Amino acid sequence: MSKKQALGNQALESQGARPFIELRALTHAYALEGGGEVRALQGIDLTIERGEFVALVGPNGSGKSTLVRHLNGLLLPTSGQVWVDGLLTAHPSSLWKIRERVGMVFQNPENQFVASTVEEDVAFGPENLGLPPDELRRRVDDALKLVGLTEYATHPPHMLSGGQKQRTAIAGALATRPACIILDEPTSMLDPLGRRRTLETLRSLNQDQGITILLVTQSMDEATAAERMLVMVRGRVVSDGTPAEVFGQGQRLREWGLGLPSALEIADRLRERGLNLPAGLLTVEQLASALC
Amino acid sequence: MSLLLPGMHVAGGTPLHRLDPRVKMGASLLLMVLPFVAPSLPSNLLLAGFVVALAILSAVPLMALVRTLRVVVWTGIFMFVFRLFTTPGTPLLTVGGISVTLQGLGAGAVQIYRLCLLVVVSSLLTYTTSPAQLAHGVEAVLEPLARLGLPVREFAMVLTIALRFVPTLFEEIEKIVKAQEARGALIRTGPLWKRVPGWVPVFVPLFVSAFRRAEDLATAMEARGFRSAHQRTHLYRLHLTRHDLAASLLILALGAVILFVEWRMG
Amino acid sequence: MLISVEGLGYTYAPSTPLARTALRGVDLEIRQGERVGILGPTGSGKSTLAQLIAGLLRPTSGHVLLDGVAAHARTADARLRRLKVGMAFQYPEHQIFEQTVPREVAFGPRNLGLNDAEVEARVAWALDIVGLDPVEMADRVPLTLSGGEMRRLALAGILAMRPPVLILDEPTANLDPRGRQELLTRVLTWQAETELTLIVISHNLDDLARLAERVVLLVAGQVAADGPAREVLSDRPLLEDASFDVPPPVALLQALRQSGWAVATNRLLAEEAATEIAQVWSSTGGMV
Ligand SMILES: Nc1ncnc2c1ncn2[C@@H]1O[C@H](COP(=O)(O)OP(=O)(O)OP(=O)(O)O)[C@@H](O)[C@H]1O
Ligand SMILES: Nc1ncnc2c1ncn2[C@@H]1O[C@H](COP(=O)(O)OP(=O)(O)OP(=O)(O)O)[C@@H](O)[C@H]1O
Ligand SMILES: [Mg+2]
Ligand SMILES: [Mg+2]
Repeated sequence: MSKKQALGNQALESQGARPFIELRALTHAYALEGGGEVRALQGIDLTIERGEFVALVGPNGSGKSTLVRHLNGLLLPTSGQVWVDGLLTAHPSSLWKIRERVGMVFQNPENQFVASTVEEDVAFGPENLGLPPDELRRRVDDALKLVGLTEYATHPPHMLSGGQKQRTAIAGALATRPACIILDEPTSMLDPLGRRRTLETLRSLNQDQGITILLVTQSMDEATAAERMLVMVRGRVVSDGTPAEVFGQGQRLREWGLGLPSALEIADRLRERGLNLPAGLLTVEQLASALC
Repeated sequence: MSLLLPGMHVAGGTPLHRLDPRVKMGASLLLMVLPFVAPSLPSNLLLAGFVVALAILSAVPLMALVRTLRVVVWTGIFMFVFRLFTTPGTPLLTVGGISVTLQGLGAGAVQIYRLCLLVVVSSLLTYTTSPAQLAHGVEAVLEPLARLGLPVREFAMVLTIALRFVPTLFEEIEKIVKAQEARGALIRTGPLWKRVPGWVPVFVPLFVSAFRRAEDLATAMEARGFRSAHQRTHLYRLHLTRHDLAASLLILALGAVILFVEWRMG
Repeated sequence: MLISVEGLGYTYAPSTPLARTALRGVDLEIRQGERVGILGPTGSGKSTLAQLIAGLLRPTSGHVLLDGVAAHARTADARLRRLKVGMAFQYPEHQIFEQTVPREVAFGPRNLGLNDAEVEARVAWALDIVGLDPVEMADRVPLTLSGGEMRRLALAGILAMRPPVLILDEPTANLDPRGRQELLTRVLTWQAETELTLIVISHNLDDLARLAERVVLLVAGQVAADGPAREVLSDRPLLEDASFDVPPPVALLQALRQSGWAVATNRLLAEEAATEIAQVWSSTGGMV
């Protein structure tokens, strides 16, 4: 509750009543070399408020990465508009302001590395903010500690294991401390401990500092960590609500090629076998206490 | 990738690693220029000894350092042969009107030596100095020119990226070779006449992926808020210490000794 | 094919300050037709082990033998054996290099010396297994596909070779839930039909629970456990030591057991757990 209040004030202070992110009738078509096009986004209207924690799910090729790349102006709309904090991404002069506000972790961490050692790479974003060396050092060390890579600080990023690369990419986004962090499947190759730590970090950034989080994920369990969930299918947002609401439409989810969080999945099967259980049991703990 | 690549930086705590990049760059420049102004054998023995000492001090695996010379094997052979045939002097052997001379042999050897020195010194520089630090150093050295309106920071940024890109290319080769071998391509196995064609399909994708990597890098820099080199600050702070002073004096002394030797030898 | 790993050690960038020992003293034996899962925290050496088995890296100590021949050897004999080991890399981008989707899938089969018709049939078969539409993909440039599509393509490129030994490094990362289910089912069917040896690396315990009968746990480059999947994957202290949780169904069963349910706790899949709970529930007359 206190978070919502604090955020309310913050929102009023900045851009009046404008939502933090606003997409209007956004479409995107990729032109193919041999002619033809792929219509990856087909008319998206969406707003995300400052301080929200949103999970974005959808089958492969549904347009998730394309959508998030519009939010910091890496891709520009084929038609429609993208506003971030009152700035239009189509204005070249707003781009750097937008990128200062919106940090991103790419789906493939290797595409994001710009420097030759882990610590220089993590420092790259903050260096662009023009921070003094002491502050840079502090931020880099904090971020590396948070993802557990301190001992790899002077390693080249390409000489890391798959999961270590992902952690480096996350550290790079954290060190910049933007108003909004977008993460495109950041934990797909982390062990459960790394996953849990990453989610906890995101949650505390969101709760304590009001940072807006948009998390793309294929893990339905992970999506339950968010307070709002978006489902994309074939370039459209087909469902938007709390995880409990979205997962409440079990059958439709399967049609979309998605699944249920483990707890819901087990609960469903228990109901089939005659047990009587309440709806909306999103976690194993909730399910266990419902059974006991 | 198990080996050291040319142009690769390896972080470490040796005295050479800790030196200010400006001092290292100045010293490297001097070491590369000296053989040209000081042709005599004694000064070059001194010079070569000094470089070997530096290599040992930098803790670079010596075999790896020697292996980086492979990059210039063809250039070396070409220069050697060129000198061998074009230097006038006492003929040793004449083939179809062109003579190999004794002097040519000597001049060729000198060429090879200079080339090796060039490669070793620059490898030592990049081995002990990260691209970011190098660029930072270049930027600091050229700072006065910036006041004349020259794009010094941009130049330094381009340099960092170029340096960072060298290992990337080698990495990319390694990656494509592995990918193709994993699916049965003959690249490192089998008779030579089958192996050579095996390399052809490596180069096309390499070319394509080099461009892609460059594009990815540009995208990543943009996405991470890169606007212009002017807005940026640096993680590392440059400051000259007593060690830097000592190293500068040492290298200047070496230069002075060598020049003195040359002068005495006429 | 018999895979024997004996005293295997691997160090990256040896004798440089960046030296990193990824594996030490690993002993394993994998028989034809086995389904082995490899599990371990980030950086524990799983991908390194996979590449050593595929003969793409040369051990710094010990051996990897494929039917008695060193996997990395540069001989014709070793190459023939390597051709029988297909490996899908952890990052699809490390594997994809061709300029069109069909050519990417056809690269391996061509190296097997198959004729055009056979190669085409393999390509169609492999694209179907991974759920990529051959028409839609016909003139797409592989490296512009979406993350999940690229993963599927990379898998297709390996499957098309129909290797008797298949190593999959994080095969389901980036796949959507349906794509994941379908892939697992199809690989399993194929495995059963052909006596395929399957080696799967995954952080997703459900993948391992479905695919593997035996699980090897690597921690810091050493084998910390090697046993039946059911045992290793329900051993909470062991897994927690290695940065893992037990799979959610096991977590639920263990929680229930603690509060007095007489359930077995080594049911790794959602449906198995549900059956177990329902059984105990009905045997107590719907009361616990
Ligand atoms: N550069 C490109 N050129 C052409 N088509 C593209 C390009 N990038 C993406 N696409 C296509 O656009 C569609 C949406 O891709 P996008 O990467 O946004 O999907 P996604 O939802 O992120 O999928 P995934 O879960 O697999 O990562 C896909 O069909 C993809 O093939
Ligand atoms: N190319 C490389 N050069 C140098 N060191 C490497 C390289 N690849 C991996 N390493 C190191 O070797 C160790 C084992 O790496 P490996 O990739 O085998 O781990 P992994 O178990 O596959 O981890 P992940 O689950 O994160 O993919 C790690 O400490 C890593 O930093
Ligand atoms: Mg994507
Ligand atoms: Mg790995």
